[in-house]
This record gives sequence, structure tokens and C-alpha cells, in this order.
Amino acid sequence: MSPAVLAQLEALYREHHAYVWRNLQRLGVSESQVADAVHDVFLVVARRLHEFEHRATMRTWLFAISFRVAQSFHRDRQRQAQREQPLDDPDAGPAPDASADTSIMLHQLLQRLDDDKRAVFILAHLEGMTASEIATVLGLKIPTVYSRLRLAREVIERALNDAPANTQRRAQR
Amino acid sequence: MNRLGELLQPLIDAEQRSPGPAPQAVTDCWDRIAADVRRGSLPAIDVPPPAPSRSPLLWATVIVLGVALLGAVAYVSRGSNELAPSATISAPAPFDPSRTAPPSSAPAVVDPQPALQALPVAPQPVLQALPEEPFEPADSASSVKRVTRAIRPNRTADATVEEDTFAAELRLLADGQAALNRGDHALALEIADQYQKTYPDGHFREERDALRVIALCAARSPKAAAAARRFLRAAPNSIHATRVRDACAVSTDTP
Repeated sequence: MSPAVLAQLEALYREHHAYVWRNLQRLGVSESQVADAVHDVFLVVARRLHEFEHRATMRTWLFAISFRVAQSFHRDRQRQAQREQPLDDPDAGPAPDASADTSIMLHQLLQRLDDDKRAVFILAHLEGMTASEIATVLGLKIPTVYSRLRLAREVIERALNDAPANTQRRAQR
Repeated sequence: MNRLGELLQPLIDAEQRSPGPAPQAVTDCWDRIAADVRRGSLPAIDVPPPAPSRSPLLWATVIVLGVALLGAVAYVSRGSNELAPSATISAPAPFDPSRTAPPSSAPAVVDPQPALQALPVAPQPVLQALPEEPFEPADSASSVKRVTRAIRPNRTADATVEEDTFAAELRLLADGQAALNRGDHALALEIADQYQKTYPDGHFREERDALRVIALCAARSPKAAAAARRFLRAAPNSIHATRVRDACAVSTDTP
């Protein structure tokens, strides 16, 4: 890779690493692994950067890459967990923890969702994308976006309603 | 603000305020990236090439095409001319196969809907060609009849295809969006009302409200601005919020 391209990559990293970091956490990559995941995301960017024609926004592309890297980390974690102990019920998810800070609680809430619904929910409610944009980023049909979004909203709203009131008050501070 | 928005917003705000990675971690991560890039050790994780960005309005075109397919299936399945009277509402839009060919420069891998990628973005039909006078449904009685015909479930004995509720709701809203795109704002409003009556607990209540608000704004109804502000207050994080703001030229900050 030429120095000029490496410089371009570094500029992208400086501009977008926080966005990538935050969304990998939202996508369920653990705190201890998020730096490795960011590293992998930007190596993919390095490999595919020559294809970027500025017809997409860089962030939507970065999210698509982050989504796949996060899925890869989840698969690795599941394989490791299967080797070590039986899996817990994936639908149960951790209960929102009143002792955790609120950004962790948001990430815990998102863990109530499976990978597909979580990505749709993040893009719609946290990144403010339209259904069309979400469909493009995730390679889905628009009715599928709406369907997953509806189901995700139900899960998140139920979890929020079940969360301890003091947790919600902490978030508002 | 709706219930989910009320519950979620403090958490989103708190996340935005959270400090993020430590500067040293950011630097260390870049050093590893740069070293691996120089060594050429790039990961095997496959990702799509960058997708072209699309206008937020393209979804309407997509749904209209979905209606076209649903309409075609229903027509063939029912084998009757029952759909004909409602053709002004729910008939598929003219479908030009030549428009489905992806442009030669389009990426071949990323887009799961290549037929849609090549479609031109539908021009926003609102605001430009509308009369200045306040909105009045010109022919609401006939519109109701048309809507009723369009959405009445086919209960004939020879009906072999039963749409599930989801598809029926989607089709009805697509009819509304198609009406809006045609500039038939009165019909779009009627369809939004009909959706509310038919599916009071439907899957797409937010979409219904967005359709109604945008139709009011497109028709320059005196109720439009207030309706838009109500929508934006109730659903500030809605995926339709941008469309409502654009169509109605309001924000939640506007009194």
C-alpha cells in the first residue's frame, strides 16, 4: 500500500474511529474485544478502499463492515462458549443493570435483540437512517426492515418497561 | 414523544455523553492497523463494496413496485376482474422492464435489489403543483368508495390466496404512498384514515401517521403544520422524521 493511501486510511481512521468503536459496542462486541474489532474493520477498509467511489456515505459503508465484523466476533465467542459451557438462553439476555452506567445499559438493552434486529434498530433509532437506507446497508428488502424494526421495538420497549425505575432516572441525569 | 422514544432518549443522550475510547487506545489501535497494512496481512472477512447512497424517497418507489407485484399475484390468483374497478388506487404502476436494468457502473455484489437500483428517484410531488387554497377533499365520497373497493378483502369462494395481515397493511399503505406520489392528496388522507379504522393496532401506525402528515402538508392544509409538529414531538426518532420535516418545513423547535 502506497504512503498516500496509508495516509488516506489514517485520515479515515481519525475521523471515524469513534463512530466505528461506538457501533461495534452497540452491536454487542465486548469491551475487551472492541479494539480488536475496530482494528479488523479498518483492515477491511484498507483492503476495499480502492472500490469506494463516494457514491455511498463512508459511514454507511463502515457500519456494514462493522456489522459483519461484529457477527464474526459473535461466532467466535459462541464457538468458544460451546467449548467451555452450554449456552444460556440467547433470548433471555442480561437484565438492565442499575449499577452500570447508562451507556452500558443501552448496550445491554441492545443485547436483548438478535444480530439482525439489533442492526436494524441501531440504524433506525440511533443513527436516524430511513428504511431505504437501512435496506441498502444491510442488504434487506424494505418490508423486512419494517418487520424487524417492529419486533425490535417490542423487545426494547418491554425491556425498558421492566427496567428498574432508578436505572431510568440515572439515565436522565 | 411516544413511549419508546421517552424511554430510549435518555439512554441515547447518555451514550452520546459517554467518553468513548481513551486516546492511548486509539493511537495503539492505529499503530496495529498501520503495521498490519504495511505487512499486507489483511483479514479475510468479506464485506460488500460500498453501496451507492439513495434518496430517502426511494422507498416509496420500492413499495409501489411491491404493490405491482402483489397486485399481479392477486390478479392472477383470483382470475377475475374484481380489481378493475379499483385500478385507480391499487393497480400496479406501469412497469417498464427497460428501467430495471442496473447501470453499467452499478456494483454487482452489494445490491440485493438490482432492479430497483436503476430506477430514477421519484420526484417529490408535494408543494410545487398545489393550489394555494386550503385543503378540502374535493370528492371525498367517491374517494371513500374507491378506497373501500381497493382494500375490501376478497371473500369470494374462489379466492385461493389469502394475504396475511402484514402484507395487506403494507399494500394499503403503499396505495396511500402511491396516491401521494400521484398528487392525489385527498385519497392519501382517506387511505390513512381507512388504515386507522381497519388496523387500529396495525404494524405501521407510525408510517400511517407520517403518510397523513405529509399528505396534509402536500395539500397545504391549514392543519398541516400543527400535525407535523405533533408527529415530530411524538416520534422525534422516527425514520420518517426527515421526510416530514422536508415536506412540511417544520421542526420540533418551531412553535
